[in-house]
Amino acid sequence: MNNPILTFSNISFKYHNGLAEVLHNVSFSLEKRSFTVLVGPSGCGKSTLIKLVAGLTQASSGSLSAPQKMSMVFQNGALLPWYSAQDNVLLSFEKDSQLGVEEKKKRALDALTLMNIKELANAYPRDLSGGQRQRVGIARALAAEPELLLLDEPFSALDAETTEALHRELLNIWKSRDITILMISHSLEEAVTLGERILVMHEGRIVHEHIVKLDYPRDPTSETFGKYIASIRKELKERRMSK
Amino acid sequence: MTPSFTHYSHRSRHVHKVSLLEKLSLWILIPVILIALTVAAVKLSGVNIGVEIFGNAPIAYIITAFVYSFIRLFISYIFALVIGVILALLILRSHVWERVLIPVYDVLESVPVLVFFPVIILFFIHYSLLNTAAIFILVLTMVWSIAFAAIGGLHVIPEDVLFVPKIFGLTKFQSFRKVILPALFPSLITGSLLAWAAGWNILIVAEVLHTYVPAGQNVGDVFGIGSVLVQASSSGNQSLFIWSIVVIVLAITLINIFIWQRLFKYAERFKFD
Repeated sequence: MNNPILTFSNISFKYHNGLAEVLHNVSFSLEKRSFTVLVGPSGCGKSTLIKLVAGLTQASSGSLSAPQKMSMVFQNGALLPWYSAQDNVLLSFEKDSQLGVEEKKKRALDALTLMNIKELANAYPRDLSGGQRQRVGIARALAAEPELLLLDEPFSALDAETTEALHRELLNIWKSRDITILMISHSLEEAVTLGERILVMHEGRIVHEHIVKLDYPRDPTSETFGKYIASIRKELKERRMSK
Repeated sequence: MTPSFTHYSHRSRHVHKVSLLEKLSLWILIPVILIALTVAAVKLSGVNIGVEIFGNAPIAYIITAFVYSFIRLFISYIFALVIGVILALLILRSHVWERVLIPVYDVLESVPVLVFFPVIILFFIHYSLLNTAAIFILVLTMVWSIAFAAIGGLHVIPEDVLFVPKIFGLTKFQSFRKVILPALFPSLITGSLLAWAAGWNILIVAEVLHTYVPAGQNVGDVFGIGSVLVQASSSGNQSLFIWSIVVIVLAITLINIFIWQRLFKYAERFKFD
């Protein structure tokens, strides 16, 4: 791979309390401007892997190279209830002492405008729906203009209609910006809808890789779409049976 | 339209709606019952009490004593709050720190505050630092409610929220000011209420520490509602005693209505779903 933005080399991870290894010799890399989705059953190590990428935890062994400008969208938005939507987005500029307060506010508002929730700038998380909260979470992550955007099952708690709308917007953002996306999903349909590349995880290892050769926007009712799903599902089933 | 009232319940840890009758019973009936019980108890004690029981009491003197005690408790509370939050934050350093410190805190909390009497006698009273000794005792009493409430508060912060300052590169101070401290606010209010309650309880001892010293005299008491109560009781001044109780009950009721209930309502906006 030419000029990867993220590289994992033989990464293993084990908790300090002596439990079994969560990740075993994981190696992969992400190409710039790619959209990769990690799928796998609960407890397969997806969340640990994304935490390692984000620097939220340290690998037990192996080497990792990740970009400086990185941001993350969390499962339930992880918004701070005591801040308005705009103030939540402002958190992404907190460390930037070069920008003035007005410029920070303007950029936060721009990020909310990008996610179509400018009018909710002064609303508090408790007054927002699940979809609106996640839009604020995405706006906060994008406001920092990251090179690598990490998404940890961001749409898992949303209804189908909202999820579909956010899928479209996420794809538009990815296409219009110089951004690489690594997303975790428990939904194979979501993975095939969004990802150029799908990494299948099982028991702490990446066991399969799929390059999805379908044009965007993808039609979940199409035969080819269904074949990708069936293929990944079959692999996961075989893994379970062989255990 | 029926007026709507709210009340913070410590047991359910939530502000909930109450009827006017419930509100009245909380803030009027309970204080009235407490005062009536005090009067009844004094009467039952066999002391000959006449009409003078509510007459001729130096109310200004009692209120001044209450204000002195309140300021003493407030200073102690500020120390207890800062120390309590620091003690709680220490466990955030790592799981190892948490495993070591929590049992240590449990043991320290269970040590009765009166165990510190030798220290108080050797140091504070020896150097005539009676106010400092009272504050020392009060801080030791108040700090654990705050520390354990803050520790509980740290555990209810969602893990993802704790990751937010790390993801956005906030400094430790920015993380404390913008994320940790606001997240702890509801727990700190609950802990503070319990700390103040414990503080009022131990106030009587704290203000008359000197009398516990061999050959100690009342003259060494620090001025406050606690020492006034003890003096009134020991000198048989029933009027002073009852009026002091009335002032305490009324003042604490007002503090509850105008400070704690408002803080509890305000704290709702800091709670996670």
